[in-house]
Amino acid sequence: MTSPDSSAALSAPLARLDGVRRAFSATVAVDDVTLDVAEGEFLTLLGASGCGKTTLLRMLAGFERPDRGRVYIGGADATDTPPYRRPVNMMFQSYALFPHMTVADNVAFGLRQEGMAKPMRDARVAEMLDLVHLTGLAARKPHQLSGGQAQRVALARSLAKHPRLLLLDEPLAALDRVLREKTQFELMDLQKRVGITFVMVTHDQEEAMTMSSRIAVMNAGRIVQIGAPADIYENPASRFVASFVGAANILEGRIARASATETDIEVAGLGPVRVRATDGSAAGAACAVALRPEKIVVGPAPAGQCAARGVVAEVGYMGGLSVYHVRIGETLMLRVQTANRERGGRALAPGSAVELHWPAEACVPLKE
Amino acid sequence: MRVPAAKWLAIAPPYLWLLLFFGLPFLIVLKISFAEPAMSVPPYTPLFARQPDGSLTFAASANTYATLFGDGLYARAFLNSARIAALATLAALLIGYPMAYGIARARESWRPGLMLLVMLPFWTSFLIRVYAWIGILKPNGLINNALIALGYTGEPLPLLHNDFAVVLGIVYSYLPFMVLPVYAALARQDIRLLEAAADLGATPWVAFWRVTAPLSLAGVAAGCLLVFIPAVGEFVVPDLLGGADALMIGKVLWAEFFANRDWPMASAAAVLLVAALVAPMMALQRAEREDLGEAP
Repeated sequence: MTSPDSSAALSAPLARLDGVRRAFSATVAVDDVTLDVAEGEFLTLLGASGCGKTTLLRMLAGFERPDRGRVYIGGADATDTPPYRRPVNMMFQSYALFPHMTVADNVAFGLRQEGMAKPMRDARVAEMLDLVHLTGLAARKPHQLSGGQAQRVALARSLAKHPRLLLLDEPLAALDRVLREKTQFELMDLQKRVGITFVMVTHDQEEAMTMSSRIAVMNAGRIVQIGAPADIYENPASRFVASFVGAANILEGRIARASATETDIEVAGLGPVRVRATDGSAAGAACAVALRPEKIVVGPAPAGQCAARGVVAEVGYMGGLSVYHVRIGETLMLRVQTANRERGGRALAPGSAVELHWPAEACVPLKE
Repeated sequence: MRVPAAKWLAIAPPYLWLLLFFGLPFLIVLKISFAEPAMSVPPYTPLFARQPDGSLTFAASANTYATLFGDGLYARAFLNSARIAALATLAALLIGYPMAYGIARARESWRPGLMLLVMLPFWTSFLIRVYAWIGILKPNGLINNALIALGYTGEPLPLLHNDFAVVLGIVYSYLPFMVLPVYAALARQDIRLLEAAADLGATPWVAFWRVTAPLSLAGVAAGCLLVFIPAVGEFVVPDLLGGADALMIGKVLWAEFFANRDWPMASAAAVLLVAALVAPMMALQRAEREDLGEAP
């Protein structure tokens, strides 16, 4: 499922944003972004609201023209191509179903614009409705559909023309949690079956991790990190990515000793933490370290592992998992996550003293 | 089903309004329409009369309706009024729709100002505004003088006292009633629907005819009714701008009431006019409810 960053660069990209920038009066929504979309991938633009991810998607669709930079689709410069001439379709966040048309007419709308003959059109509509499990609802009007059904109609409509690239703007945001999780897997399955390249926008990092083959994390109009979900999670490049994608303890420290293979970082209140070599920063330089809560183990430390002693301050029981806030010394609070493997297993009570340890490679030095 | 008192309080005013200002007057007119004209005050025979022996007699006459249907004059007046009103409604739609569209698509900060401009003429008396058109259209009026001075025509064009002038006057007077509902329908349309249409390959022209226009039909229907209905019974515009022979039901009504003092005839014509206007309106409303697929 994972496709490393390099593979995208090897094959000719299906779409390319080249140094695009877009400002709305004083606000810069997208700031000098270059992005390649590889054929067949499921790329997610992930970021908080206002980070520019939707503007970027709308540039691919043709609804926003970049102030600077070019947009290429299928190798051709599409910067000035209007949306109705792009081989790209979009599924809107609000679905934007035509309220005066039936489900079938909504799905057929794009095919009609292509001038497809009616028998073929009807067949395609039936095929699309079958694909999203809505056969039998063809004659309904949008207001007679549930949220989940409307979502499927919007999906069927955007897939009906067999676009080379499907853009999805928060496609699951309006669904309730249970339906959303079910639909996540359906969408992934569907993407594999139809073989269409997906570019999705979401603010939900779990959704992005679950569904994507590649994630572009955005912040303040820029792509701050791009890579496979596991890559982003395990090797966050910055404080922002480390704390936005999953939870992380960010430990502020200073480089105590740097060698070619490993670096010791002195973290206030914790002592030295050993990480992989940082990129040549000299001893004495400030350096932060990310430590994922689930990488921390509760219990006496075996030899050679980083360890700490602390007191449980807060306990969060989440069913399958428990989250502890462990106070270490005066200033440091570590978030620790344990899997509740045993049924009825005893949880740590607030106030109890604990020993924590983690393997050295669990700590990731952050560049910024 | 019990409706709570507070809800009744909210529903009651429109119904009271309808009863007081439409229902009761209409019943009075209906009553008069079944009487005979008489030299008395009021100038028609009473429907119920107390005889000297104390008994109550009832005397209704359908003579007025017989005359209405029998004399071709009334039928022609009805048809001519409907024709003129339909022409004026069509013209108002062709002028009003682009206006409403332009305002609805204008920058949001401009819209209130533009709507104000549409309604501004209402601040002057309707009668004076229609009267002013005489000065513009008459043989030595503004337009003809300008055309002659520019050498486009030697003879003044017959612009006044014909159907053209009547249609023009009606369109001018009732245009805001077309613009307002169409604007309301266009302004609340979700702009993302047009994006969706464009995304699916529809050019702006196609998107307009397949998305914008069908979704504004309710506003168009409301606007057409608001122009057509008063236009059919219009009296001032045909009286001032129309020809001497301009046969419109509003003028006929006026003549029956004030010139002939035939109140029953005038009332009967009014009753038929209301019937002719209410029936299609209700049919349209039903069609609209089914068409627009309002949630049940």
